[in-house]
Formats: sequence, structure tokens, C-alpha cells
Amino acid sequence: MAHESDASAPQAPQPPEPPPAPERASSRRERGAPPGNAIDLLLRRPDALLLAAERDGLPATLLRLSLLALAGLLAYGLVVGSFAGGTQWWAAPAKIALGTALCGAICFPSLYICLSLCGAQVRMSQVLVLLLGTSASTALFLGGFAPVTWVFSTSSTLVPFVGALHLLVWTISLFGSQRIIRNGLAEIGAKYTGVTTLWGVVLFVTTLQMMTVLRPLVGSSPQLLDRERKFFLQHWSETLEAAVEESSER
Amino acid sequence: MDAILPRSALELCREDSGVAEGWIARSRADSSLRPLAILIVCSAVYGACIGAWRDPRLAAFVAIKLPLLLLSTALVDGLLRALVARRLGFELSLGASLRAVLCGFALASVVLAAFAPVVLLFDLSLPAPGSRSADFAHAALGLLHVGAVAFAGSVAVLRQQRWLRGWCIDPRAASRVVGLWLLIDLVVGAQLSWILRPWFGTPGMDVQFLREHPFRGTFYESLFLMFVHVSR
Repeated sequence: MAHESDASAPQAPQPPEPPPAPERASSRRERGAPPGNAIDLLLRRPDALLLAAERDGLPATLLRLSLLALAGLLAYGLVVGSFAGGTQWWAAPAKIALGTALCGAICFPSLYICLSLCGAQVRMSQVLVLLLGTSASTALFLGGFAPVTWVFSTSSTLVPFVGALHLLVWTISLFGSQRIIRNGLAEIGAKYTGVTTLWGVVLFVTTLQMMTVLRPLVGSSPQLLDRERKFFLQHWSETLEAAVEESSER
Repeated sequence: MDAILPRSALELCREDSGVAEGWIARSRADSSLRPLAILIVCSAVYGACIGAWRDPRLAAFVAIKLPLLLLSTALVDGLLRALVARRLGFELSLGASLRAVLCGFALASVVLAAFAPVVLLFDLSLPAPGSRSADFAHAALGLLHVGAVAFAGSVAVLRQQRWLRGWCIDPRAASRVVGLWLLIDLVVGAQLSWILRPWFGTPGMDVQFLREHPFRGTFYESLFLMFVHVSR
């Protein structure tokens, strides 16, 4: 028969092997139990964050992530406050922790909707875990950067320079932590993740405006809060202009 | 309805929930009422944030006017949209095409409402309407709203395209029909929003529900005059 194989016939070229299929959620689950240590979990197995929340229970996971976030933010806040000293020793850490919590609350509804738009069957509790995971990871990076930033901020007297340094560290820490959400999305079977990048930008801009609302953070002021309403870009340009004027007067 | 409204709004965002497809297909009263209720509630929330920077009264006015704008756009364009869909080979009735548009506007409203807290932060922290930087704040907020509406609109259009794929033999026709619907909505919506001014509340102008002569002039005439003014 024409379609029967002939052993003596030359072998038809074999089609190339298909590329390995993308790693699925089930295979990630098979990779092993998520680490019990929250720091290891965020740094080495961000994909297992939701699995860890299922294993350890929601309240315990939220508590661990909140404490980690608080510790990192307070530690970095101390470095920020050390530049001006005085009341900023306690005001800067408190404002940074409070501002981050407020930004999380403000951006929670949009994160929930963005994750739903990604095609994921996501629950409110899972979104909360991912948001707190992102905050804790950001705080962890900030804590890691704290000694480095402290070295620079003790050597400088220029508010714009130290402000720009903190902005750089904040940007790296926040965007470096976006993978918590991306990995979480892959875990719950989302089809698209592009929308979360846009949400990351919204969160970033919101934090910048929140820190402007809660100013002064780096410099000092007779008041604990400056009541004047300002856009963050406007505040930065005015701070820069004041520094340039001050240096030209010297 | 009250208890299931938030759940319906969230399910509308999920791609595989089939909620919108069901609403478009069934001609029961609740298939129109649910997207309508989502549209009104969510767009009112965002509308309040649009007006909140200028004045609490304007926030209340825009909370009424934004749902009104979306609904009037859907109704004014309804017949033309149904004709376009039939012309491009869709088995969509007038009611089904209206429900498809209501679902799209409802989804856009849900997305906008989700970003409302972020917008409110900027409303309350940017320079106040009476300050010397009011014009800057007005322009910055305008850009913020344009960005938010563009994002919500894009999400709604892309999703509407998927909802309509099952209504035509050629699935690619869904892109064409949604593209044409978008064009019609933009052309008509721009004029309706012109009639329903003020939205942001220009600093220095009175807060009012509608301008003194809302039907005087058109959006396109003003655009043309602005172009002439700039080119001189």
C-alpha cells in the first residue's frame, strides 16, 4: 500500500522539535513548596506568593507582608529624615509609611479592574496579597538601598541632589517589584499582562504626588505639612530654582 | 438589582465571563437595565471627580452630566449604528446594537470609576482654582482626564470587538463595525459634550449646570476658529 512505510526507503527529514511549551502554573507548583521566609518568597519565588497565601492563610500572609513593608519603609524613612534631622527623624519615616499605605488604598480599585481585564479569574483577597507583596518588595529594596543612600545624603547639602537620589532609588525599587504582580498573574492564568505595566506607571505617579502632598520629606520646614497645593513637577522645579539661586548668592 | 450590580460590573471586566455577550443576545428588560445601571453609577462617580477640582457644585453637576452624555450619545447614534452593522453583514437588531454600545460604555465607566480615587488625589492636591497656578492645574487635570478616557475607551472598543465576533460570518468584520461605531460616537459625542459644557470649570468662569446658550456654536466651529487663531 502506498501509505505503508518502507524500511529501506530513505528517511524523510524529521520536523524540528517544537520549542518547549511555556511554563504553566501547574509546573510551577511542582517546583516545590514556597519558602516560609517572606524575604526569600519575595526575592526568589515571587510566583509562589499566592500559593504561600493559600498554604499559610490570608491573615498570616497579610500580616507578614505588612510588617515587612513597614520595617523597610521606616528604615528608609530614617535615612531620608537624617538629611534634615530634628523633627524629620520621626516625621519622614511616618510620612513615607503613611503615604505608601494611602497610595496602596487609592490604587487598589484600579489594580483589581486591571487584573480582571487581563483575563484572570482573580479574587479580591488575591489582589490584596499581590498589592501588599509589591509594597513589601519595594520596601525590601528600599531597605537594601538605605545604607548606600545614607552615605550620599550625609555627604551632600543640596536638597535637589538628595531628592533626585531618593527618586532614583524609589523608581528602581518600585518598578523592580512589579514582577510580583506579573508572576502572580501568570499563576492565576491571565492571558495579557500589558495593562499591569500601565497600572505600575499610575501607581508611580500617584506616589510622587502623594509625597508632594506630604512634603517636606527631604528638607526641613517650620511646619510639619506644607498646606500649599502643588503638582509634583512644579514642586521639583521650584526646589531646583531655589537651590540654584542659593548657590549663586554664595 | 442593588446587590448584584457590583458583581455584574466586575464580571463585565472579565473576558471569559460571557456576561456582555448574554446581555447583547437577550432582549429581556434586565439585559438593558443592568448595563444601564452600571453605566449611570460608575460614570457618575468619575463625573464627580472631573468637577471636584473646581467646585463641589460642579462635581454634583458633572456627576449628572457624564451619564447623560454617554446615554444621549448611545441613543442619538443608535439608529445609524444598527444600519452600519446590518450593512457590514451583522445579524444585529437595533436593540442588540444598542445593548452592545451600552455594554461598551458601561465597561468604560467601570474602568474610569476604578481610577477615580487617583484622579481625586490630584483634584485635591493640585493648585486650587483661585491660585496663580490655576491654569496649569486646569491643563494638567485636562490631560489626566484625556489619558483616563482614552485608556477606558480603548479597553471598551477592544472588548466590544470580541463580543461582536459571533454575530457575523467574517470575524474580521467586527473590527470594521466597531471602528465605524467609534468614529460615529466620537463625531457626535464631541458635539454633545460641547452642548453639555462646562466639564472641568475654567478658572474665572461661573460654576453652572449648562452655559447660558448651550446650543450656540458647535465643537467643530470652535476647533476651526482655534486653528485660524493659531495660524495667524
